Amino acid sequence: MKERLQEVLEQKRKEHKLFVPYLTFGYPSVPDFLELARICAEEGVDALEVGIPYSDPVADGPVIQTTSYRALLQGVTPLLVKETMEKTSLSLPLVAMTYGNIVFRYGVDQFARDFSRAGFRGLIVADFPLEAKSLLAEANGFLEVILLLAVNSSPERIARIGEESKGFVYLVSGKGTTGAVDIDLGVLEKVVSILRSCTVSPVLVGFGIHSPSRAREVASVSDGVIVGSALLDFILKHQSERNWKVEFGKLLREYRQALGG
Amino acid sequence: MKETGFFGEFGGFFVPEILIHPLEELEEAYFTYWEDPSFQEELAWYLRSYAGRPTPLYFARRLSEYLGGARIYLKREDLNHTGSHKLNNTLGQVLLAKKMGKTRIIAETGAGQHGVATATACALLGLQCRVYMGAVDMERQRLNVFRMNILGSEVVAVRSGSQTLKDAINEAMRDWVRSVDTTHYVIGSVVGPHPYPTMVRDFQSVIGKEAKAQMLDAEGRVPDYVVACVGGGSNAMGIFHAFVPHEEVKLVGVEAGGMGLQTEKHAASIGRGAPGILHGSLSYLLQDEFGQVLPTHSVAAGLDYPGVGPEHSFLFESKRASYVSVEDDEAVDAFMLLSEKEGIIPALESAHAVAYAAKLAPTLSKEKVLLICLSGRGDKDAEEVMQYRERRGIR
Repeated sequence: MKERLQEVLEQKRKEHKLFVPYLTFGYPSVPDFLELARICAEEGVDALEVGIPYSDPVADGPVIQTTSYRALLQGVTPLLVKETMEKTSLSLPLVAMTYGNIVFRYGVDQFARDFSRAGFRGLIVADFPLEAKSLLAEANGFLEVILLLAVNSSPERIARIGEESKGFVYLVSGKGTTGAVDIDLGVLEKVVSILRSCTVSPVLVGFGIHSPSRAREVASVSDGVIVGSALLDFILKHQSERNWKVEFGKLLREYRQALGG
Repeated sequence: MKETGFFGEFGGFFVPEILIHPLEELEEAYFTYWEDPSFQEELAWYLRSYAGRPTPLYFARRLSEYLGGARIYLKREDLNHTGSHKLNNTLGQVLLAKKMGKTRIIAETGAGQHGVATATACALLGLQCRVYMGAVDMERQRLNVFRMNILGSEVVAVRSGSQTLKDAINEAMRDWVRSVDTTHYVIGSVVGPHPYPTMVRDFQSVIGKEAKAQMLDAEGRVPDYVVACVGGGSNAMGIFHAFVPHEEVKLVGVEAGGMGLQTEKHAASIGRGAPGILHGSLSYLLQDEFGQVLPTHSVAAGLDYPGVGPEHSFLFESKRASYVSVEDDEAVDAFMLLSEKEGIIPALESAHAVAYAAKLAPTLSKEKVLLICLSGRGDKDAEEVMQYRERRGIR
């Protein structure tokens, strides 16, 4: 029986701030993605979010829209994600991130069983707020359902989301889509302080963490960060260069160092 | 939220958490003002003295005689200011946004009718307006793009995905996520997260309310059939709503059959789709086996949408309404037919309803009464129809 995601992260946050990259499955290609995931494991990230591409990603900015679109053009399906990850062993906890219709169409129960078997421990559904969580009830026991929290959520919602989110709490850094958000550290600090009074779950901040220094600032008021667009943008811009994967590893190391560990 | 926004198993609000707060605010404001007599009075004043309501109910005598069956009536939403039913909703929503203290309006548009209606309401009420429109749609509806510009709105070309209505909604939602504090998003159809499907239906329900009273005047009874085109389905919900309690009235929604339901080039969400989640609600959706939303096609840009309002899915599942489809060719024929027989050039969207009615009417006796929602006028489509006929060698 593998350890729960939440326990893993609670252990690791005692050592350093948490660093969770997001990569779109199948971007730039399936073999490249798997190599990037291995580099993530080697560079000591604390978990990896695997984006399962959806045709209409309303919560995503231009970078993840592009990577999702290109992955879909190459024929990436949720079934391919499951089958590929089943055959791959990675020494880091995996979290699936996608949109409601992907899980709904697959069948929540089947999705949860299949993806648990393929090595996933958590599930994030970008367009499912707290009220839609009941639709994911069948995932219980297979995947920890991670809820997103926004800076404009009411104190009552912050408390409820804090209590009901499993694995960790995903705090969206501000108002915007992935990759482009103006972050107000004071606001984040207030939300986190409400969370601390009602849950021991790790609090990770994502959206708009565009540099190691920004990661360090945001981690100073939370347990760590999720970095997606900044990494994928690096890949978009550099994948035609020699040694780009080595450079990608270096970039991860910069984030890792900025966050301790 | 006070309510869950479900119609049977359809509807809800499937949105990123950041949008919950503005949706709560909107639900609260909407429920409050919709019950407020002074808001209703103000809206009614604009609808009457600005939009030109009530729109006429017109007995299409020559068309009825030509088809040789049921008596056909047209609810003339094409005579509403800006040329379609869309203004009923945008006047309501922009007025509401103003009461809520919002200073900026965003909207999506497909055919451009909703964009024009939003730009119009914003010019009238003095709010800043930005309209998102698919680049493909901008090309085929250039006149409407220019109209929006004249009205002082900024039109932003959307180049993601299929570059049509669905992608324009995605982009408007992304804008709203960034701008929730100052901005109201005016959705143009009975789609989207709660409270939009209910609110847009209510603002459009004036169509059915008027039509029912006018029908009672003209015929002394409710019609046997009410026929309306369905893309997202706002004109259809608007005219259906008043008749839903009258179980003897058959409600028929007409979807875009494009090049045929056996091809992949259509927009028949109920006819060929399956329940799924898009743009914040659970409803019938054209999607592949993995839940990816499929590209759609219709000669009518306003019907070129893979989803449909959740209340339509509910009316379909509960068998209160039936849904059929009409192909591009038939719609273009109906566009010509109504023009020739009645001197009314219908929008290609509305021509879908006319086309189905033209098939249905001859099968019915002269005692039967058929009401069509003529949702918009067809001036905007003249160029599209001209090119369509040229492609098929028709002069």
